Amino acid sequence: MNQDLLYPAALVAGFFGSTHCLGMCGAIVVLFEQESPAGMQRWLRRILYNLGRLGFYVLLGAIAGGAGAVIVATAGARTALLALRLIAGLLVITIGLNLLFHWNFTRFLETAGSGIWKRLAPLARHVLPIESPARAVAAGFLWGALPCGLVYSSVAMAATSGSLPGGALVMFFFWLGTAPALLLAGVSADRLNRWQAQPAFRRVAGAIMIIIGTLAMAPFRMLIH
Amino acid sequence: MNQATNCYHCGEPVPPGVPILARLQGADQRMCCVGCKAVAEFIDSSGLTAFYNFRDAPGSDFKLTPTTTEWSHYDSAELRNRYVHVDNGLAEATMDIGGMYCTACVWLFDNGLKQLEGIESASVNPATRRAVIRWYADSLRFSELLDALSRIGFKPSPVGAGRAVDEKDDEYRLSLKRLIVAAAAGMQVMMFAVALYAGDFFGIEGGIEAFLRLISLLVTVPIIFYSARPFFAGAWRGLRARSPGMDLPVSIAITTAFAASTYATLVNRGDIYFDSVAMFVFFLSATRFLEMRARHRSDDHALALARLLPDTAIRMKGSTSETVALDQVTADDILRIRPGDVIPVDGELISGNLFVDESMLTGEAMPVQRETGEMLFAGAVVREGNATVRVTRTGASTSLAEIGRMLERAKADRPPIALLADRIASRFVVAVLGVTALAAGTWYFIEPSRAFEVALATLVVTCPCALALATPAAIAAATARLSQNGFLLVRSRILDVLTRARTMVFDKTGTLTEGRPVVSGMQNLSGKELDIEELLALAASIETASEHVLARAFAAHYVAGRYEPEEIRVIPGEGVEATLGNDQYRIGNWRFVAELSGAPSDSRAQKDDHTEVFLGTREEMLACFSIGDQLRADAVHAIAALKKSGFRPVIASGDRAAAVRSVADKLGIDDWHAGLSPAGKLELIHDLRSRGESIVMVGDGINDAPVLAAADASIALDAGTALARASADAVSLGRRLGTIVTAVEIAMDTRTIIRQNIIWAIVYNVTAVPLAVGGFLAPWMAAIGMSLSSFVVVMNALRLHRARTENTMTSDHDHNRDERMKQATTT
Repeated sequence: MNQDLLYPAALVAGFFGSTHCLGMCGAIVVLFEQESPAGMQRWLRRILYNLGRLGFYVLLGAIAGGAGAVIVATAGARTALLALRLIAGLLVITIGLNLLFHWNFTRFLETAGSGIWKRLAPLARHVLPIESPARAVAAGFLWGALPCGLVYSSVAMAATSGSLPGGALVMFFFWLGTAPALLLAGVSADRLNRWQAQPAFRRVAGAIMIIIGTLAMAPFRMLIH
Repeated sequence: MNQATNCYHCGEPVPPGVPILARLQGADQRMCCVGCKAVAEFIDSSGLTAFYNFRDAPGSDFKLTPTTTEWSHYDSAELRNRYVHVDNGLAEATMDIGGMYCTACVWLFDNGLKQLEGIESASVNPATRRAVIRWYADSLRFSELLDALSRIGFKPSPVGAGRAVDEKDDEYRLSLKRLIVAAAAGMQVMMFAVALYAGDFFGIEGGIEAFLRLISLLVTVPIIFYSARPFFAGAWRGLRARSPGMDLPVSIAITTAFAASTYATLVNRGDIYFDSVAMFVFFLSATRFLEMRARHRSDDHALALARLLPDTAIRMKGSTSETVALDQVTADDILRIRPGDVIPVDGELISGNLFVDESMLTGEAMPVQRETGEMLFAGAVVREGNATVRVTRTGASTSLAEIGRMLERAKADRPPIALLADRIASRFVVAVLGVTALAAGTWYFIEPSRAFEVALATLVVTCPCALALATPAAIAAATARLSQNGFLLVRSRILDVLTRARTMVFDKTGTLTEGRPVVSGMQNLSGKELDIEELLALAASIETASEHVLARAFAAHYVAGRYEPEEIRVIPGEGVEATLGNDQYRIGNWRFVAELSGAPSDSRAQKDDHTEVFLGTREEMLACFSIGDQLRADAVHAIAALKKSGFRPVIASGDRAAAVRSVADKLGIDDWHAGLSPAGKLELIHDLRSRGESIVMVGDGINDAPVLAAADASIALDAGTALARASADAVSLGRRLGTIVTAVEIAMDTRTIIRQNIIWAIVYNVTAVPLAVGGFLAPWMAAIGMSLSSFVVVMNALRLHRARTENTMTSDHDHNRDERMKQATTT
């Protein structure tokens, strides 16, 4: 299993995919900011949200990795891993196509995922206003639960790691990729809009996602004895 | 795509399909994705909708209220019908938005418009700057919408029924999608293939191998049924037209390889060729894609021309002016023209003095001066000066429209070399099928297991692209390049002739020369000190009464109000007589003036190339004006360049020998013929041709139509007003002869490139086909070879877009024009 390729793929997917999130998640950050007393340091707060988000992702990744391990154990290693890998790659390619053509293939996944969100959303209301570091982390954790095709693709990648810590690590790298954009998010909603609307950036991001997806599916290392 | 609005939450376009709606403060808002819906509903349910207000109007509180001003004519029935489509009370208009430079502008556009009451939706594509706006027809008028846009700071220009651009965009997008699918799936199949090949070497589990083959099959399916569709369509078209093109062998190869591989996969026995198929389709699609891009670029010029004209004009009504729709302007209307305007009609300049940039029409980058009495052409841009213009032709009868039609016609006309290429390509395809069948049959007897593979390789490896793909691409590129230089092909056979003709026959007046008389010199005959300017102004004021050709030479020197001669009498064939104060003046030929003034003291021999006009009073002969027809500014340079590229220039003129000799001497032309009647010119052409020379005739295209027709190819120069009547194989617009030099160069380059491609094709096919038939090439090698070959020839053909322009002196200015072209195409 070429897990060494899985981590950078998750990282890059996070980095380029996060342009897609800016319009959506930027609003969340702006909202958090608006609803927060001036006391806590702005940057500290931001880091805390994102750590909370990381927490949710790692949880998801660990569950997925664990599930992957179960599948591998029951269905036979190679076939199962190959199938998982294929699914993950196709998902990333799909995200790339979304970015390129404004299609929305992952909608069904997001719709499914919004079920989780619906359960958690009432909780979100309790964490506002954000007046303590713990609340900031909690808000970030809930933020991670927003329905997002990109996250689900990464979770699928995490599953292909076939082990519980592996899955968590994949999601950590994914989070690392999204961190720069989302740490900066909320500086100003206006500036975000402009940045994210750059068609050239979308196109480059989309193309890179397609390439990553293709690479992520690369099966040959595991086939050669 | 017109349905797309933007996500209420994040502002991204809403993808097509079932809308995702979020209920916010009791109203449904469109969302781009479930995530946005979740966030938006969360924000709403937290009672934080102020967020959206905060976002939508950061620090500004502009409000749009409808007013009506200069846009009101857009409410006229004609214009509304042209631009606005109303369905069930909902109006829709597509418009290009000028003045949109960045995404911040896009934001301003979207948000600014949302404030306007009655807008249903507005979306703008930041790349093309084209917007689709829908509004409720009963609450907002078209003019109010346009006015609102212009007050936010945009220049809206509604796009009429012409759908050419959209079609082009659609074709582009579809091809791109096909290409991307082929690329993504192709890479995948290749990787599986590498794994399988590696497995062959190092050993592989049977189950895994079968699995990989099955996956390869699945990934290849979209390549066959989506990416490769144009090839199948092309093959079918070719078959129905009974002239099979290169798509036929390509389709056969794809189909059989896919079918055989699918069978092999399902029975899990035999070779699979999914990788070859994928590669083949991808590379061929890429080549086609490039060729299509080039084709669209060639169309841009014609398209830009069509977009050039404004929709409105300022019409004078007595002393007042009104803005009217261009549709309503008719012949003999008086229009006002301001600096920066695009002249909307063909017309005569009745007052004012303009510098106009006619580069869109003529390729000539330098602005030219137009004075009272001269013609102005639709599509020219006023650089300097105000003027009034009497409309002579509008709409579809303008020169601009005629140029557009010529470009269209030229596109439909295929030169002999292209027709030949087609015929050969067609035969080539039949031959390929024959050779393939033969190879398959032969191998079947030698080694049946390899027969299929060899046949497939043979089918794939042969490449008629140099003929079927690259030759038309080369000609399209050359035609586009020429028209940008102000050289319009009417019949593209001239491209062939320009490369083999060695003699170029020129008419003199209006071809080598400007065809407009000017005062080229003055001689003081009075013996006193005289102010030259004053004399010219005096002469000019008297000559205003005359219609004579020579009188026009003085027009430039006329100073209004300086002299007001009375009792003007025009004596046809002699001159003009007038009284100014107490003095009686005569201007005209020597005999006529001498009758009044007596012969001057220093009578001299007439100069050779000039016609002379004398001015005298009752007392004395004052001056002798030389009237000449100036050489075109770049005539010397152009003739020298033509001689350098191997042409023998000949002058065939109806003018006097002395005048013709003078021009010939200045230009260094040895072979000149003067005093020829039209019949004489015709005879000269026949004579030259009977000596086996190929002749290119250059004339004004109007008076010498039969002569032009007698030559192998003909070029009409500066046809101006009479573009439609010009009977020539090509029309050179503008005042430069240099366009002809450039045309020759481009024709030569075109021939060189077509030859290179054909030589390449011969070398490639002669090498590759025997190798394939001999069984030395695996199908995937054949696919790479064929793809590379077609890529090489198409790229080579596209070099013509960047043909050299060293002799045209326009290269510096080309950039500016290209910029304007771009603006004309995009705004």
